[in-house]
Amino acid sequence: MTDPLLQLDHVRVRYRTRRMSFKGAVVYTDAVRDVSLELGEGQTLALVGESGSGKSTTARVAVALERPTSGRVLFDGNDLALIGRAQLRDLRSQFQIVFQDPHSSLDSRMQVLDLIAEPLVIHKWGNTGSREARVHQLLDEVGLPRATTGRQPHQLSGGQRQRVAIARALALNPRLIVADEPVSALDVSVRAQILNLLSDLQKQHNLSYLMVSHDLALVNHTAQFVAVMFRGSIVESGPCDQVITSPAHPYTRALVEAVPSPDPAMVSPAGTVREWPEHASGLGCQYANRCPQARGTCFDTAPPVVELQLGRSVACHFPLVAGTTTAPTTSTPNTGA
Amino acid sequence: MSPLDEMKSVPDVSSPETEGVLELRSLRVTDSHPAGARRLVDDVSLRVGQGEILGIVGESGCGKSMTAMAIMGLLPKGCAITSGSILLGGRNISALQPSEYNRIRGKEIGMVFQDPMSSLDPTQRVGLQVADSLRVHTDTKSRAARVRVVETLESVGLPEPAKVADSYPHQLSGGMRQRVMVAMAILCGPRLLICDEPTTALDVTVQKQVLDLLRGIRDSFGTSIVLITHDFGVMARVADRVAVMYAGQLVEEAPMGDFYRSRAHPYSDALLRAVPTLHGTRSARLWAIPGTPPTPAAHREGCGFADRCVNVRADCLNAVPALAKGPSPHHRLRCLHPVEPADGASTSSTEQGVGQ
Repeated sequence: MTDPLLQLDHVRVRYRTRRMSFKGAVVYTDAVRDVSLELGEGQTLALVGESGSGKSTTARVAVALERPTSGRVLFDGNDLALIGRAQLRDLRSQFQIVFQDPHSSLDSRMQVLDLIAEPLVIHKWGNTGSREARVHQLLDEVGLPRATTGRQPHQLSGGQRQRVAIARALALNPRLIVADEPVSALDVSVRAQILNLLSDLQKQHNLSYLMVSHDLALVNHTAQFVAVMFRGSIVESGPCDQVITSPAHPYTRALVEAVPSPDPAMVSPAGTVREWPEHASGLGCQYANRCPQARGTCFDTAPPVVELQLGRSVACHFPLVAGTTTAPTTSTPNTGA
Repeated sequence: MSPLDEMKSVPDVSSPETEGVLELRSLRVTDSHPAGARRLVDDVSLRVGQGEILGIVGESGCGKSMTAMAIMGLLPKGCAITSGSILLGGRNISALQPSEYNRIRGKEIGMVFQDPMSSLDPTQRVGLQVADSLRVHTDTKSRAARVRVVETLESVGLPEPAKVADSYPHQLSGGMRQRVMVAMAILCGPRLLICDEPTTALDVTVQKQVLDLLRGIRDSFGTSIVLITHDFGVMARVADRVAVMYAGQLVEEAPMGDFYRSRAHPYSDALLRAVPTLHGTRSARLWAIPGTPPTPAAHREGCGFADRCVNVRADCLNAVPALAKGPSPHHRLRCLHPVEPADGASTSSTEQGVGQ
């Protein structure tokens, strides 16, 4: 395998909370704890998890919108923390982000022409004429009529707005696009259009996607690889079809079982996941309190990341799938900082 | 065709022995748009039987939430019921005064909304808020009310209900808050529960539990439920019968299983195919519906879906199709050129094909 385009190496993001401990010390919380992942050129990796699992923070770290507290983010071999500001600025043209809600991510007072040309202006690309030509070309690519240029976001539908956001992200010919819940704010009938558009663009431009989603069915459809996050850690990762058809982590299984099927004949039996208590014990597995098969070890030792087979790993003491190699990998995250 | 004529042509879908708890008769809700009153809900007739869960599916602007608001007497300013009626247990409630509606809402009709955090008062303990409807509708003394609240909190599956009653909303998780909302809605033992996107703000694992809770409430109290959602997966998990709305109108209605197997409206079919499932082939393209959902209009010449429809013919543009009998028993359909039921069930796109 060639070098990955994007690599996150033991990334931790720690936030200061407003809470104070009993002794008056500042309390920190880890939004992302020790996350490592790789994304190759032209591939799609999906980050899946519930709200608060750290998937969006991880995505923001990947495009340098947030700095990791520790760990490294490598884009095409460049450590984003070590390169200078000017270099980072140049590099930023190669990775772009599409947000969930195009209504709030697009400036409502700007016209579509200016919205899409804005990244070109910032990166001093071409002149007014060539930028306009580029905007027209981008509108064609995302399937919007050229007459859209004079419109403002509020004159567009949700799907059209998301197309504008995608055109904006594509403007500088990026290699990586981070899509944070790109369709969850859209109507069901429009979602498929946008997903198909993203997949067409990926093929045409050999784009890499880091997709953040809470919808496993959607991920199953769009991503080759998936990383399941729970409370800031990746609990399982691997090729999408394998992870979904035979989940190794109990949390992944709970997620798969919870996906509602539109076929009434396929409705899964009533829940196996415990919804509470909400707070995990500090030392052991973060999922132990909700896990139906947690045993003694789970509560006091953090599970090592076990590689089940090439490219597929799980962080669980008692994985549901036996691996070909059960020896722990050299890295043992979650050692409880 | 006048609404009255259409009523006659529509077969009675609920079995005759079940007394309809809720009945909508040619309901029309319009707003006061400067360019002319637009029909937000256009000629909707529905019936919900005792202990039945009716799901109303549709996209934004299709009129599903407006229908719910009309039933609860909570239409926003400027919107009004301009024709048709709403019958609750045989009594017409569509023309009630606000003060009279207050006596029904919370007592005979319970409500659960999408976002529990914005429906709860952040400054008040949960138990007090839940007890509100008891204080309004009955003369229960506060000590008895407290007992009743704790019991109800327990019945919706909350652990340590007494502790929950003493908590503030922010101390509870999203799933727990939504359970509190459900407890509040069922406290006075309503016959009808209206749930408007009750799980949209929740994580999937929690969503499943809240949906199972709603079904449990129906099973143990015989409550009739109207569930409004945009998600067919949610629908399949709880609804007995499904009604699809588009552009303010009811376009198809059938028992859940029949609907999935023999849906006939091109919109229902396309919508179901457009939903990615866990059993699909990953590389296959999703079935996309071209265009965007329509905005409310004052008047429609033809079928509201015509401009996005794959089966559209010339006659679709001339007149709004009537709601007529569909391909299976208890099935109603508003379409001149429906999709073939056989095609809809077996040879549909990859994702449905495997899901059979």
